[in-house]
Amino acid sequence: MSLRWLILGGACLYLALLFGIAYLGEQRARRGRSLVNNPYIYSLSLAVYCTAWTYYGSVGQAAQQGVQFLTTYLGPTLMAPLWWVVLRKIIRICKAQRITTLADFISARYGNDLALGSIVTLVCVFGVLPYISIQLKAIAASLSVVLPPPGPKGDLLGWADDTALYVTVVLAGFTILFGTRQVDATERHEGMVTAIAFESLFKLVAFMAVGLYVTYGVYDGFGDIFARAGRQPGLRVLFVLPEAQYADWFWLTVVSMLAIFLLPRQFQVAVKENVNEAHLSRAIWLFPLYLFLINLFVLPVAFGGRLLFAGQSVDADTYVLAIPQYFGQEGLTLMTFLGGLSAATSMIIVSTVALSTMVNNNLLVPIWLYRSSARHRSAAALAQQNVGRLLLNSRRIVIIGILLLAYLYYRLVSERFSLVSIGLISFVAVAQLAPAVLGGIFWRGGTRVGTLLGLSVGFGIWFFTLVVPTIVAAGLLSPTILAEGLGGMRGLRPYPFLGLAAFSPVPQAVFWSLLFNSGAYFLGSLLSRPSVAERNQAEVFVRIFRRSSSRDGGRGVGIASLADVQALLARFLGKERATFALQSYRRRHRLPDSSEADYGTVNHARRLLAGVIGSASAHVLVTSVVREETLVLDDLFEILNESQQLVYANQRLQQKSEELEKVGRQLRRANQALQKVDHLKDEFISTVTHEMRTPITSIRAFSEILQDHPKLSAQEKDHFLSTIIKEADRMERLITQVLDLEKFESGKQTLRIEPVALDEVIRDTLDSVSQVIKERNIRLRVDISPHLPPVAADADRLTQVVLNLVSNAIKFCDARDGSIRISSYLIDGQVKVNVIDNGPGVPPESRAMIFEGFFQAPHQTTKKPVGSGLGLTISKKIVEYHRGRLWVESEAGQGAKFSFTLPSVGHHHKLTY
Amino acid sequence: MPHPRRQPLLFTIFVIFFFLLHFPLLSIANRPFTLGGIPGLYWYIFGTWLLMIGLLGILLERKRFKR
Repeated sequence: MSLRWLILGGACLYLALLFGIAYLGEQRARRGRSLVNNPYIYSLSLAVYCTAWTYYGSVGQAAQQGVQFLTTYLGPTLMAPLWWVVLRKIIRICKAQRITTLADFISARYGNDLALGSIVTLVCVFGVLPYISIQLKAIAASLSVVLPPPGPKGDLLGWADDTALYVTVVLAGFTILFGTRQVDATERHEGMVTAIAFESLFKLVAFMAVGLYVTYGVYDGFGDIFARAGRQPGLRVLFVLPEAQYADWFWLTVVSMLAIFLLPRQFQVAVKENVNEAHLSRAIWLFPLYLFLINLFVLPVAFGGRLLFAGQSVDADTYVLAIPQYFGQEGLTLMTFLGGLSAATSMIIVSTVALSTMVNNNLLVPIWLYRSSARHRSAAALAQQNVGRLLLNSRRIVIIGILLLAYLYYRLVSERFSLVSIGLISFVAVAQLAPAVLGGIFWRGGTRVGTLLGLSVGFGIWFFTLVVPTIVAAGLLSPTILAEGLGGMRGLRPYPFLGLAAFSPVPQAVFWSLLFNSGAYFLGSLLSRPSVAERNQAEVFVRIFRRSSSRDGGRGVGIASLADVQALLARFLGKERATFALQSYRRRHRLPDSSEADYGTVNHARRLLAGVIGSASAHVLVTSVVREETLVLDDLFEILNESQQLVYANQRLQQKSEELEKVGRQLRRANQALQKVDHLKDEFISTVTHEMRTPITSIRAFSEILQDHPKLSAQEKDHFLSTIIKEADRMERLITQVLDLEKFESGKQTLRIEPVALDEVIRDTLDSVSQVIKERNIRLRVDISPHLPPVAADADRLTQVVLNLVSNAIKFCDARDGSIRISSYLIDGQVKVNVIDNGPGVPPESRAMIFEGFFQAPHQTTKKPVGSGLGLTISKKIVEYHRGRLWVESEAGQGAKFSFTLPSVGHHHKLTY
Repeated sequence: MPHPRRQPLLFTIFVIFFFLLHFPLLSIANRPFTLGGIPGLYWYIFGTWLLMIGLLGILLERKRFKR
């Protein structure tokens, strides 16, 4: 009787002590002298990994299988060096994004997806509930060991079960008290962490104490125990690992390596409760040291128990208690019992806090948001209610719910199984999160679709291979599925799954589930396209070490009014804390006062909110407050900006290409013109040479005649000679004209410009041809306006032009009744001169051509053409050189009127030549 | 990063001890012999384990970065 009260009293005292330590931790934190900001406390808090499984179950497993149990501890040890990269990255990301749970982490990484968060939460809850239940089982079992049986055994068991229930209730109270103080979940639970650290220390000390006692008190050291065990074949066989278990060794280590950071309670203490990244470097070797120490005596105790209780039906899981009790060591038994209690309670507390936060943020809040929005109330209006208290209370209710469920599970299922087997089932469950988490922090290509696929497949396989057998064993499912497989297919049996019989059930579940999970994750990610939000988050997560700490981790959600943001925060954090948080943020970033909250501020508010209700729900709430609805406004801006720049660039390119085209066209035209000119030049040359041939031919012909016929009459000789001279003259004239023309063309023409009286020029010219006019009986009429202003011209050249026109008129006017009229007057500031004849006229098609070189009128009657054909060409050039125009107006058969204009001096035209 | 070679060194320790503590290397010690009564496999596993802890401790404590 006294022992019972001793035990119970001890338990109560112990729990009270726990409360006290937690309270102390909290007080110190509030006063700023935190106990938790300490690498030793951090490392010890990580030791929450060692639960009643370690305390009791390891011994049980070692007694049956030898060293196989060590995989659970070697895994975390091997993983420890990688923490510097993996865990530190996770911690950094969570601090930047205010992520508090594993479900939040995964949901945030893959685009703040609510659905994903819910699924991960469910995976964790289903995975960890059994784990919690075995702690309760351990407590009940340990109680039934230490307490002397008061009556029939069934009575004690029922009593022990009831005690377990009482313990559950007490733990619920502890968890609520120390795990749900504040609304902002990012505030550390310093009290809880302090208590956990103490528990870790206590259980280590207690276990080592009993270990030392068994090894050196009961036996004579390690050597003695193993030597004795070695003499028993049943025990000696445990000295080595059978080859069949080689693969199991590997897979069990792997799953433990994953569990050390994926178990919700581990995530809680290692990531969320982490105060300082630097503590991690101490923990990397302290924590494995802890694991080493606590496992040091497992094998001796196991073998000691086997030796001691050989032939008795003592549950190996309880050796650690049974041995000191057997030897009547009451104090040690009590301490050992309390050590086991501490191992179990620490796990329960931390796991429950972690799970309740997850359930709250990822299941309850979204449901509440969805239901409210389904009632057509805006989320912003919702935030007007005081939801802070609502959240806290819901979290407390969830805690109670989880613990009661765990108790139920214990009563229904866990009683039938060893601690380790159930524990490993939980390990494999949380290991399904590995591809999503590890892929999420190292691979930017991981997408939401891939994660969903991987999780579904992995979870499904886990459930089928590991949970279904337990359900069958509990009698809730027919055992045919174990024997025949799903739908009668023998490959689809839980064990061996797909025919793989090389592993034991748990390792093969690890293998298959991880294989299909990773495969689905990779394939799903490669085949799907991430949304903009996912890509942003992927960038943040994978590159977290390269971003400066002061920049925002997430993308902006939009701009909102500061008052709205503040009001939203206030509903969740309380007015003071909301105001303080926003003000300190704006002060830190030196933002000017305004009524608008910029992207950074909105983001900061979103992160603060995420600490309370999870990032997915926070995202939804904040975006509803923001003016623009779209979640991706920032990205839209960027896209717009980019496309604007593209448009500009395109415009510039178009301009350039247009310019290039223009230049090309100009070049083409110039080329064409050059070609034409070239052509013309060729024509010209050929025509000139042809023209020159004619007189040369004549000269030659006549010269030959003179040579060949010396007996010609003087008259005939004279005639021929004069013809020769005339032809020579003609040639000379032609050459002069060509040279003249060339000078005009090449711009080398020099003109002597002086004021010239045009009427004088005309009269002089007429004088020079008066003889011919009289001879041909041509009627001449001259109308020169008096007071004609002078023109700036080269007098000789002008004479040449007038002479040319008059000569043409004489040449072409009517043969019998020729009439020429010359007039000159001032018009539009220009001096105009007309030479009109009554000849055959110039048909329209020839009007342009007569100004080209060597044109001969088609109706000339004389065999030897008068003139060279270049006259008009040169005249036109001369006139144009003088900034004038020369043209002809004529109809066929109605004479021709040649006109030219020259600017008068009064108009100050400058001649350029 | 305070110690530029810390990360690769940590990774190397991981790889080395992963191989040491798994098969096939583990099978070298997985034989029925005892030293001082204690099975050889037990010596090997715990010894390697302690060695790893020691190495990690040295690496992480000697090169501690200054705050």
